[in-house]
Amino acid sequence: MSTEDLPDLLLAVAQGDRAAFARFYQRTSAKLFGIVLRILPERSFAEDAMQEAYAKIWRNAAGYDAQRGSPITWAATIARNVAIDLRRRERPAGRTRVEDFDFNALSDPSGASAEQLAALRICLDRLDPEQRALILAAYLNGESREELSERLGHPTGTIKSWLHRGLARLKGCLDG
Amino acid sequence: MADDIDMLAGEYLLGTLDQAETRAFQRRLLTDPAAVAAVAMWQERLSPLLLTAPEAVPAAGLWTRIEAIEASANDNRPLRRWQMATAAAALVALVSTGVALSPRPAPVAPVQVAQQAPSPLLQSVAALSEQGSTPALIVTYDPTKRVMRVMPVNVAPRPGHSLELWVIAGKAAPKSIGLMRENGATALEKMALDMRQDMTIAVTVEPKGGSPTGLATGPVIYSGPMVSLPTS
Repeated sequence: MSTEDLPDLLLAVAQGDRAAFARFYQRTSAKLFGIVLRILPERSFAEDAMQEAYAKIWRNAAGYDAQRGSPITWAATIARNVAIDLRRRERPAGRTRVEDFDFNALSDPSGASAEQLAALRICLDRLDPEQRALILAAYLNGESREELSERLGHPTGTIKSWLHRGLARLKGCLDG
Repeated sequence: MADDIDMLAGEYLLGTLDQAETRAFQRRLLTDPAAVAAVAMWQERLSPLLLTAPEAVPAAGLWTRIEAIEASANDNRPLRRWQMATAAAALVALVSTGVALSPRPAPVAPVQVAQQAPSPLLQSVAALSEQGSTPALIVTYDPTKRVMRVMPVNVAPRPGHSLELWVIAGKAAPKSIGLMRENGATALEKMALDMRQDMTIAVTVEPKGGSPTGLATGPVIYSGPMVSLPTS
C-alpha cells in the first residue's frame, strides 16, 4: 500500500482506522525520528517524544487541515514541539548535537512548493553565517537562548539581537 | 508595531524566548489574532526546514508502545472539531500553530503550580467571561495528561462562597468538576473529557464547600465553550 497518499491515510486515521495509522507510522516514523533525535540525541528521550507525538497524531488527525501544509510537515511540527517540550522539561544536559545542515534534504514532494523551498534556501543563504546558524540551532536542535549563549560564549542579549536581525532579514527576503 | 509582533512571534516559534517572555506571549495569543497570525506565518516559513533531518529508523519496539496507547485512547471521528468549535467560540483567539514550549500560562499564582512539570502543548482552551465581556478565567485542558488548569484573570471575589466549576458535555446535565481555589490557579488532575463533544465550562456561585446537592444551585457567573487547538 506504499502508493497510498499520506493525506488519504491521515483521513482514515481521523476516522479511527488503526491499520491506516500503522501505515502512516511506517511511512513517517523514520523522518520524524530524525527530527526528534536532533533535539533529543539520547534515544530513550527521543523514543518517549515519538510515543507522545504519535499519540497526538492519532488523536488530532481530524484537526489536520490540508490547506496548512502537507501531512508530513504537519506531523513533523507535532514531533518537533513534543521534543522541544521534553527537552525543556527534562533538560538533558550538554548533549546538543551540532550537525551540518543539509540543504539537499530540503524537499517536501507532497507539501511545500518548489518555489517556496527555493526561496527558503536562497534567503537562508543570504543571512550572515552566525545568524543562520543561530536560527537553525534553535529551530532544528531546540537550543534555548541560554544554551546558545553558553555554547557560543556570547551574552544572551547578543544572541537575542542576532536572532532578531536574522529573523528580520529572513522575513524581508521571504515576503519581499 | 507589526515588526515587534513578528520578531516576538518568530522567537516564540524558534523557542528562544525565556520562560517569562513565553508566558507573556502565550497570554497575548489568547486575545490577539495578529499575534496568532504572525506565529502561523513563521510556522509556514520555517516548517519545510524540519524535513531536512536525516532519516533514522526507530527501534521496532517503539511501534508496540505507540499501538498500546492508541488502542486505549481513540476519540477520533471524522469531523473537524476545531472548525465546529470555532463556530461556537466568540471569545478566544486561537493558537493555530504548534506552539509548544512549556506553556504554563498561570501568571496569577505560579507558586501553587510550581511543583508541576510544565505542560506540553495546550490542547483545548476556554475563556470564561460574563456574557462576552473581558475573559475572567482561562481554562486549558491537556488530554494527554488529563489535566485541566483554571487560571483566574479577572475574577471578582465572592466572600463566604465557593466558586464551583461545571462541565456541560453536549446536551448532558452540568457535571461538577471541582471548586476553584480561593485565589490563584487551580489544577484538576485525572480529568477525562470526551473532546468529541461540544464542551462548555461554567462557574457558579455556591455555598462554601460547593453545591450541597450535586447540582448547580447558584447563579452562573461565567461560562465559555471549550475550543480544541489544532497542533499544527
